[in-house]
Amino acid sequence: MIHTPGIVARSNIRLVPANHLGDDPLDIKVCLAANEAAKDHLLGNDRPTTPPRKVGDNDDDEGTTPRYGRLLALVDSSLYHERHLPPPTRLIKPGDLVVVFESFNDLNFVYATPGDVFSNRNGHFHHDDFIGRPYGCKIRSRNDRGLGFLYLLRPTPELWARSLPHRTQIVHELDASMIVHYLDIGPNMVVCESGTGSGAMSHAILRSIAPLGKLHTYEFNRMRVEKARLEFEGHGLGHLVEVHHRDVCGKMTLSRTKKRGGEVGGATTAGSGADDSYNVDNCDVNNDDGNGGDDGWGGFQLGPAIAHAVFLDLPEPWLAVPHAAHVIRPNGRICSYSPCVEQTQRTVEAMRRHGFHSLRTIEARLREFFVSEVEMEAPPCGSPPDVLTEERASLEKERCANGGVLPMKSTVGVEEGQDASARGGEKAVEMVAGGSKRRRANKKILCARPFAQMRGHTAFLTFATAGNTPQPDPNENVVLG
Amino acid sequence: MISSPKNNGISTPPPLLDAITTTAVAVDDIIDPYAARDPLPPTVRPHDHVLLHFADGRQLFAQAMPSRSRVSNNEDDDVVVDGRRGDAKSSHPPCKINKRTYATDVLIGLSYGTVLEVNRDALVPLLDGNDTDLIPDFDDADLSLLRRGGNDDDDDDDENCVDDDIRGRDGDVRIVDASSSSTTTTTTMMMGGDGNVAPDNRDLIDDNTSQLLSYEGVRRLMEEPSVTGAHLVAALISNSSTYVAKTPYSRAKYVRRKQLKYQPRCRIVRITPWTLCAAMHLRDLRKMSNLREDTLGQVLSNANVSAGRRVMVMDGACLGIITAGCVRRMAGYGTVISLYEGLGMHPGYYEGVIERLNLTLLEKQSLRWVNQAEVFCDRDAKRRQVISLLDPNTGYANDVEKRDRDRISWPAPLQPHTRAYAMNALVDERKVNDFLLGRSARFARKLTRHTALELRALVDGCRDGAEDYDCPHDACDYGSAEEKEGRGGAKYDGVGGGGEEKIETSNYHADEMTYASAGGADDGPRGEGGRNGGVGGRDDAPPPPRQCDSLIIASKYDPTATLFRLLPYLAPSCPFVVYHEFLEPLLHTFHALQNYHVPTTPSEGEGGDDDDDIVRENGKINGDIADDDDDDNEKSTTDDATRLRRKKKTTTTTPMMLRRNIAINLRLTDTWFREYQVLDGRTHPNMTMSQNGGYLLTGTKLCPLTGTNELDEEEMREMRAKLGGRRRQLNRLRKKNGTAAGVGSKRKAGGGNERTDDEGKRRR
Repeated sequence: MIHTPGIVARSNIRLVPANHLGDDPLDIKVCLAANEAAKDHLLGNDRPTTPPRKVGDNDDDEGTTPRYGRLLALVDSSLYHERHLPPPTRLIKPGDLVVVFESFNDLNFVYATPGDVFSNRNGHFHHDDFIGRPYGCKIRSRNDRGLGFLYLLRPTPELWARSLPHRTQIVHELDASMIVHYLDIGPNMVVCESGTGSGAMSHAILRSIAPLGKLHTYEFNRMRVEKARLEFEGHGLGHLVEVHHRDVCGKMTLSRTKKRGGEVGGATTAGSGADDSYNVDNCDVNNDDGNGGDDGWGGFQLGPAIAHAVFLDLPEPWLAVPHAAHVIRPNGRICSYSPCVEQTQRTVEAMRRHGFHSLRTIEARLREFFVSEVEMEAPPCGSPPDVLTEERASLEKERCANGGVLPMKSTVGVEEGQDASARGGEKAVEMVAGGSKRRRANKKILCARPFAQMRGHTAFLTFATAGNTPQPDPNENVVLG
Repeated sequence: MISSPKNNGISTPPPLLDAITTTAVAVDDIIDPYAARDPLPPTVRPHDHVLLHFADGRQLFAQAMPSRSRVSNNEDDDVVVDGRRGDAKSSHPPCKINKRTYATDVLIGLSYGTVLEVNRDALVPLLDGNDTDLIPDFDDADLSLLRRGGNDDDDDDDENCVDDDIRGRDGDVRIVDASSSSTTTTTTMMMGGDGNVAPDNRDLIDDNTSQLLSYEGVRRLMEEPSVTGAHLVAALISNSSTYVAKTPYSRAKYVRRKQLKYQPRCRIVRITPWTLCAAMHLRDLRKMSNLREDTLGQVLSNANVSAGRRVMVMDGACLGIITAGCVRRMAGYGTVISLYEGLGMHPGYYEGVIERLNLTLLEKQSLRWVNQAEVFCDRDAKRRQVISLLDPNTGYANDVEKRDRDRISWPAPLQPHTRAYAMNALVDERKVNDFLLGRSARFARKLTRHTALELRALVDGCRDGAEDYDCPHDACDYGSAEEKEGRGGAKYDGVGGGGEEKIETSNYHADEMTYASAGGADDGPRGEGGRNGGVGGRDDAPPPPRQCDSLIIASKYDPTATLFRLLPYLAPSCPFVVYHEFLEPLLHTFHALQNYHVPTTPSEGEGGDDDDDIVRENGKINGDIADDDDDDNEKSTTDDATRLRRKKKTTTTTPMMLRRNIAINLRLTDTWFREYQVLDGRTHPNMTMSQNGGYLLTGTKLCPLTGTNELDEEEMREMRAKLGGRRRQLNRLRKKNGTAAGVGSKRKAGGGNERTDDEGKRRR
């Protein structure tokens, strides 16, 4: 990180000794007032509340008392206030993740590697053609006479979510934006996430907690853990994230009990209380792993009151809620993402029991619009349509009598009549607009309508705020059989 | 020890080393104190703004102001007083709840999430763990006991303090102390199957006579100092003749309704972008263009706002709330350039909104307010202005404001006349202190303010001078300032206009460089190459612009024209978001973006039939061509019809693979947002929901000028030779489209912009 002294540092606003300007009482007052203003300005609401001091009180050892020294250090460090991170690179470098935009619905990704070729139905695209070019460029295929083309974009969490390899169902961008927004995730925060899945949500969180935050993400499937680790490293996010291989719900406890005590499944599940639908499926993976989840206790294993926010995307989030209540900071935010109402209900109940308040369950859907320029044709305004006259009625009668065929004589009359009406119509139109102008009468307007199909449901998002009373570690109550 | 340099007009900063070494402060803390600090302060600090959430949905803003009395205690001969007393803040709006004003100093030091009881004259924090929910606990047991005539002792006590005439019609006033701690909550009690509870509403008679307490009686009770809200609620319930006959759920509802009115409680909620947006949305949604809080979250995510970015925001229509959101998401890393509308230096609205987030200095300094005229004004005029400011000796622009600012030394020694004023006019010691405090605060602000030229350098440094987009939507073409003058300020100038300014790219950069380096507005690294203090800058190549990483527009101006004007400030492959309250303006923007193609450069366009037209028409894009084609440009402005025709031609005849779009990944959306009541067995969506939260147009800018493909020129020529001119090439393309499964068929061949309403195929 680059720290550059900014305008405040150049402006020399600092704490000064009271006799900085001289020994005149008014000058001393100027200095003291300046110090107060400096504290206000530099520390803002962070400024420590100090009881008012008197002038001649401890004037001399002001600089020596530790409290004053700390304040001085605080003020001084506030001077280096412009925190510049290196600007994002504009050119594609070897090794970069590049999002390949084939069409709106087809996004893909490549890691730029010299000599490599990316092929799709549009043709073969050589990495050498775009390495060193700016992001956002358009390249054409080398084969097929260059008819196929691609756009290359710099990855954002949104683009990544649309192009990444799905290992599980992912949190889509609308939900991801809601979660980051309502969890108040910002730079330098500590966030817990479970499970990692395909890592789409993790990337959205990582963007927000950069540059010094920490994401603890938990996943019980070892393969996903390893892939996620590789991905984060490859994307240059390794320093922000820790991928834990463990099951935060603590279902390992069950399997452990089962193995040790040799109990039958029925007895074990009965012991677990609320968890009656539990099926011991993933036990082997967890048990064999020496790395994560080895103790089989569940939970986040971080200690109390660590995380600013917790995100749960689990099949049985209510099992993780007690652990989350322990790991979350007072007044921290939690979100649970569940597709089913029943899951949401149980989670809400668990959250209420564990001190969470301000619960709010929401559902959001993105409605996309189809935009089109529609030509509005003016309705025809000419002569009135034919009505049945005496003459024509008799003709018609005659026709019917004749078996549907009119005698030669009368056909002429009808044709004449039709001609006349047609001519009249034309005339009317010409009178209105005339020739070329008639075309212009068809105005074009831009119209929009929602697409006929939309993603109808992803999940219910339950948000809550942690209470201020510390919650016990649920693992302390667990007694292994 | 701190040495004390005496006043010489020069202020040397005191050496800090000693002070630091005497205390154990980690080195990291010194460099970046905020990194080690909790990004969300857990407790309310003095002068913090907070939100108070009530159970009935009200959300009020409050500021935790230290109480007057604390300062005045030591007032007699104090020099150091609470720093902010000198500010004009003394007239801050008090916290007003139910037409009563409350002191907010109780909030200081409380942790966020604490529940306060709103009493008659004070806010009382509920700190112990028992009954600290937003809805007070209420135990039905006491009431039912009373009904049956038990608990006589309580009865006597209460009757002592309540007048006789507030008894109900049957003289049966019962007042219970409902605040007495009870562990059972209302719901469990009621669900528990109490004997008195009616199963349903079949016997309910709703004739508005069930409440035996009269209005006057309630009023009188409320005025009684010893009667608390809990008493009142209990009195109302015990005097309700139908309460016993209610079903458990409607009992709970009844109690809750009474509690909300007579026992109001509120929770201290931290002001973050979404709580701020929600509260403001509740208060006045038209003023902020109906921007719902979830839409704000989408704006921030879609615009890829994060630490270290440079974000350009223009959110006049939303009272600066998007700016506030960006600042929070970036926490002082990077720069937010917020374009404000109007003539004032700092729009008060924005300030009000931004202030409520309790920003740190870092965050405040990362935010730069820039007048929108810097972006929208006539660039030639701007250039002339800068040239007029050039100092012939140094070759740099003369920034008077900066000179004045740099002349001030901290702690700003008194000038003779000020000294005289302080000594003579202000007799009172306190007045002197206040005056000096205010003066110092003023100087502190002045010293840390960016000058207009510095801000201009910053903004101009974001723009790629080579890019300039003609707003293609005819109705949106407002004409340049110059033309306006010429034609008497006509607003709608027909076709053309927007892009008519002739900018000699290289010169412009040189000038920009001159004043930018003199101003030194942005201390951070600009562009990849950085900047060497502008030494000999005039002769060097122009520095690479440091374009913005995100662009957010939510202004009252036409979104199409605004976006096309601001796109050159956005770096390629970076997202932009346009918010609008209404759909229609965004339709035009969407359509314009979709159909706008950056004209091909002449070198590429040699072979084609229509290329000459393209080049002639848009020659100004390329500096070299601009000179040659001056006449042509003028002609075309006069001859609008020809120009239009030409334009149409170019858009229709350029084959897709050669087109250069400026944006891709376009999406026009709104959000359907629904809240749910989640209770066991009673889960359903809320009865009312927001129907609209505004419309968003999102997209990603492409690299229109330098980034297109590309194969070598020779390959291109070969290709063209094979195909035989563009027209034939196009025809072939069309033919190919006819045969469905061709490799490069039109729809398949990339074409991200060409979204068809091919819904069945839309992959999700």
